[in-house]
Amino acid sequence: MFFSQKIMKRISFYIISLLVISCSHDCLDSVWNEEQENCQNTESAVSGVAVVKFDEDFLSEVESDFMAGGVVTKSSEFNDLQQMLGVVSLKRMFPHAGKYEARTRAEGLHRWYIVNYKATVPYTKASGDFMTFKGIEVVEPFRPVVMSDCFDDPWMNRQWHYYNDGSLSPEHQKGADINVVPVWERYTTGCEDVVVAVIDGGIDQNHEDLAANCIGGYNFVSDSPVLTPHDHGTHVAGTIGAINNNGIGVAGIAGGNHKSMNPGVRLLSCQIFQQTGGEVDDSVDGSLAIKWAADNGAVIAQNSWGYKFDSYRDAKETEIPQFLKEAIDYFIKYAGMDENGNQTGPMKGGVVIFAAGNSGWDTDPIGLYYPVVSVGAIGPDGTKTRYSNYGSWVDISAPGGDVQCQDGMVYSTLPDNQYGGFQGTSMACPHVSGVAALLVSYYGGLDFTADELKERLLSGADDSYPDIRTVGPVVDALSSMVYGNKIAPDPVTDMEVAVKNGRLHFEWSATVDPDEIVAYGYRIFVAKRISDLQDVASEVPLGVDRVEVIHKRSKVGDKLSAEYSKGQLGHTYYLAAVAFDRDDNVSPLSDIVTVRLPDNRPPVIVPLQDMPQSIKVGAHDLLELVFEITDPDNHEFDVMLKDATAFSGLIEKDPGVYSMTVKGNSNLSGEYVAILSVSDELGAKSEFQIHYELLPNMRPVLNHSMGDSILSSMSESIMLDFTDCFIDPDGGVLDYEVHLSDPAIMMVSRNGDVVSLVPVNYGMTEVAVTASDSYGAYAEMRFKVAVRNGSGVLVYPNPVSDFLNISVHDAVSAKVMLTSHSGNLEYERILALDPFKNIKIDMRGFPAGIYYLSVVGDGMSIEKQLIKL
Amino acid sequence: MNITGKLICVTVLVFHVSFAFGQALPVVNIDTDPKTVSIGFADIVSDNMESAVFGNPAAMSFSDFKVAAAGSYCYWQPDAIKEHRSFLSGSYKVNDRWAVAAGLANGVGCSYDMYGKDAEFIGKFTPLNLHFKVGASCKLLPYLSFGMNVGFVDNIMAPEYANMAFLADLFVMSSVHDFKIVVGARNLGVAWTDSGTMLDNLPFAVSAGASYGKSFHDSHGVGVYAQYDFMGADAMSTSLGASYSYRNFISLRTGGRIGFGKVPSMMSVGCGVTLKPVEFNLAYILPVQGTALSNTVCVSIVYMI
Repeated sequence: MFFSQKIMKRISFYIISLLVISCSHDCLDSVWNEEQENCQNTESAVSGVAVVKFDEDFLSEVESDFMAGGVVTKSSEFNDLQQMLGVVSLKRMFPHAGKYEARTRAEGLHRWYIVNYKATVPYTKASGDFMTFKGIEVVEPFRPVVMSDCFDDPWMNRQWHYYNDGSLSPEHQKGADINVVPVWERYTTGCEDVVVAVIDGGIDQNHEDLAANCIGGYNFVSDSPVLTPHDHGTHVAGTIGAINNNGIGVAGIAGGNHKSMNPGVRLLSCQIFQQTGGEVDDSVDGSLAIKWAADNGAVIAQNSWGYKFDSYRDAKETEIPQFLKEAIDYFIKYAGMDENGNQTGPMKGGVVIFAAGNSGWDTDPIGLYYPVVSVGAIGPDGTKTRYSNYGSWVDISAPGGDVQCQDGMVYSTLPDNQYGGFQGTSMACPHVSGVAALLVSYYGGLDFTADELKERLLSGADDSYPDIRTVGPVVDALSSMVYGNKIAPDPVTDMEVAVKNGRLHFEWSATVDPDEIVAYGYRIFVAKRISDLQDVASEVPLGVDRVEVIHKRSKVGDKLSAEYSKGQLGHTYYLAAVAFDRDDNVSPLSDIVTVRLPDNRPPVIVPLQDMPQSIKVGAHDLLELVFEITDPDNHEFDVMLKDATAFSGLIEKDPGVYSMTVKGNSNLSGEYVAILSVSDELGAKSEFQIHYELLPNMRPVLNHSMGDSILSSMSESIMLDFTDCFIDPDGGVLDYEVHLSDPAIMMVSRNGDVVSLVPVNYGMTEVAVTASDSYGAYAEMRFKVAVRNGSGVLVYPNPVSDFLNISVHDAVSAKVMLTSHSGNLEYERILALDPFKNIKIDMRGFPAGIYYLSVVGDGMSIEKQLIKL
Repeated sequence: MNITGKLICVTVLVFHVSFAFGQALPVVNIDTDPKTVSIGFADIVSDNMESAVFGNPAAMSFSDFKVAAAGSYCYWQPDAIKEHRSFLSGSYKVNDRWAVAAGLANGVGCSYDMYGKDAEFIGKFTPLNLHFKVGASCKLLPYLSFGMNVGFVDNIMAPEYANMAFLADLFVMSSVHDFKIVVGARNLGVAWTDSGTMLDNLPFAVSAGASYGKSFHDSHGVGVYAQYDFMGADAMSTSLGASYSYRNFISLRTGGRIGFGKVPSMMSVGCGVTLKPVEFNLAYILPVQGTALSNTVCVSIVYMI
């Protein structure tokens, strides 16, 4: 069985269901109110588009003209009206309905036409003019259709696999779905004539969201008609045929429309799995179920099962069983036909669709069997899932879910009126079966063959996904539905061209495609000569450039845009566009628009500060230069700074305001020229020369010198503010160092640029303060500090054993004499006494005893008695 | 070798050793006897028996007195050291050959301020020194005598710091008619601190001198004195003095010293009044610029029989 399951807690399921249901009710109320308003207002209608219902008689006169694809009819009066309103196309609103065409015409639906006219004509004028024409009975505005109007199934907002707007999680990629909503809106939601055999576990026949579409089946495990509900089978069945628009549960791809009383496709349960309560289900081979389904009305065989292999090698070396091949062949050949070979179902023959498998291998024996449609899986991000088998044998892919992505699983029905998410190619496979069922529902009828279905299914698949080489193109319900159509979209009528940043910028409205709802893509032709555009729709001549854009999910009237960047400035260009559909049916050429690309003007550089002839940059300066740079043509531009010695930090500090700094550098002193160069994206350039001179460094200077100081006690101190003493002429930040010749005398306490010199011992020290700038240039200040124990003349120690100190407060020259106890003159000198230079008399050679010291100088006379020990 | 030869040898040896080292305790060189001070410190050639223990003990052998005693006060270096010095001394002539003497001197210095190594004030202290000596003299020949003093000095200069010394003086004196000549050595000994540390040698000095004294008609007496002291290459001096006495009642004295090296020069005057057996003496050192000894005043009272 190809699936992995996330079992949801029952209680959480109820909570989530309630939340979703209540939200859905709110949404419905808002939609209803909006619709009431729209009855009075046509502003939200698509401009240039109206829906008209022709009179039966008038239509019978001109219908053949309409079917020919032209707007010119046999009615000249109507032709005049068309010319006045600028009508460019008329398409049937309800396309030819095949076997249902008769009843379509009986109900008059064939008389509804979508009319495209000049977009500049207001709807009120157009509707008034249409109503004055006797061949038109009703005129209605053409309103864009939004997703929320589709179905009211509350779980549908989780079914990204049907409509992925990228909102469920960051991993969800907008558009990574099966594009089924437009099919529901415009074509079909399924037809009860179509029987899909779900060869799987048993479908819960009583499920609230499935029961109406279930037609029973057979239990091949128990060999009885009694089916036992199975998670996997019920989930697969819900994807194909859960009832739509019934206000409960989930949507199914071909589940009909409950409110419109349209039943969906029939689900024939062919039970080959039966849950036992253990890890492994009871099962039987699906081949007999396939054969049985062909004999019991099914035209599509949905198979999310395969064989179990011990290893990759086992799988690689195993071939599909012959009995299975023959059962598949039987189904393809006889499905939809009775025992006599008469077609009894909507399709002649059947299509067998198999899941590719979840081993992540490049092989699967069943998938390799060519007649089988093998289905790989993509995740909500539009890439191949890690589990999906892959290879060129995989025919097509579909969303299979990814449990690792938030809200990334495939949501569908589970037994007992439950709902939940699974992942696997088992979940991808019913998407393809469901789309196939829609195609049969719409196109089925006599002589509609399984080959036609298969071609439409596979050829319509979207090959724009990244992993189509490994898991095939992604099933696209709309593309398959419209595959092979011949009617071209309406031409573009409102293309506007503007010049932005030297580029041609196109904008137009998405146009109607009568059989595909909306144009699939557009080609815009750009030429320098108008004559080159004459037949450009059929053949693109040399010299004409083409811009092609695909808007596969746009809605009629959406504003679309594109750009052309190869235009040369100063030249005139002629432009026209065509719309095309998925089958490359091309609309007529639009009106030709003429536009001239103006000459490119260079950017403008304006300095936002005074700019002297040469900027002087001191060695320590850091100057910011600011420029406003604008481009008169609003082009993008690049800003460069060239030859920018000592420049740095070119930044855009505000939009259009650029800042750069130039830093002084004495080592590079000299005159320079930097160039601010601005080039716009088209090559126009402006330059601004910045002349500047990097000045050499100037040495710090001593501004105020500190004199020598005498401290008469330990409680005194010196405060020194470096900034008062030194200045740097060119503004450099100075670094200060203090050095003491005798660190034992004073303690240096520094607080920023202020230093305190606090005495810790008596004596004298020289203080050297050095102020250095960042270049190492410096200035120095020296002064002496004497720390004395008191004022006046100090003679110490006494008694003295070695050196006698004589300290004075003022410098003086004095005669110093030492006389011994016996009167001998032991020492006599004339000394220069200096307060910052202690006089020391070496008394080590003096005999011990009493001495008399006499110091006599200018204005001073000191006598002391000393003891020499 | 007789005893004289041995003494000369010892003297020469000590002389040599003393000058090989420095000096300690200069206080031992201070002689404040007014008679000596007033004749320019020519102490070894004076005939002062009462203070011979602080001067030349050999002079005792040629004294005319049996007993002599003295008490003295001196205001030493009043412009500098400001020391109050005093002494008591006495001599006794045992017989014509032997004489003995003893003396005690002390000095009380001026109180001084004590400062530590960072000039911080520590306190005050008054230095004190004490000098005790005994001496003896022996007349070896009728014209030749030998004298010797020994003493102990304790010089207290700071709290818990004092210098001490044992010392000796040796003299030889000859008296022929009115002339006297003398040679000697002083301050031989050892010194140490109160903590036991040995100090440099004492202020050793070698001295020589001569004097002449004559009385005329028992009314007038004159004397002249000359002395040379050698205390080292940078400390030498020559002292010259003269005295006059009238009827052995009043004496006038004057003298001076010519110093060399560290030794200051000075001039002094003095006088004496004798009221037998008591004698009063006064000495005054004249103020001379640059001399710490200026204005020193010494007085004494002497008893002699």
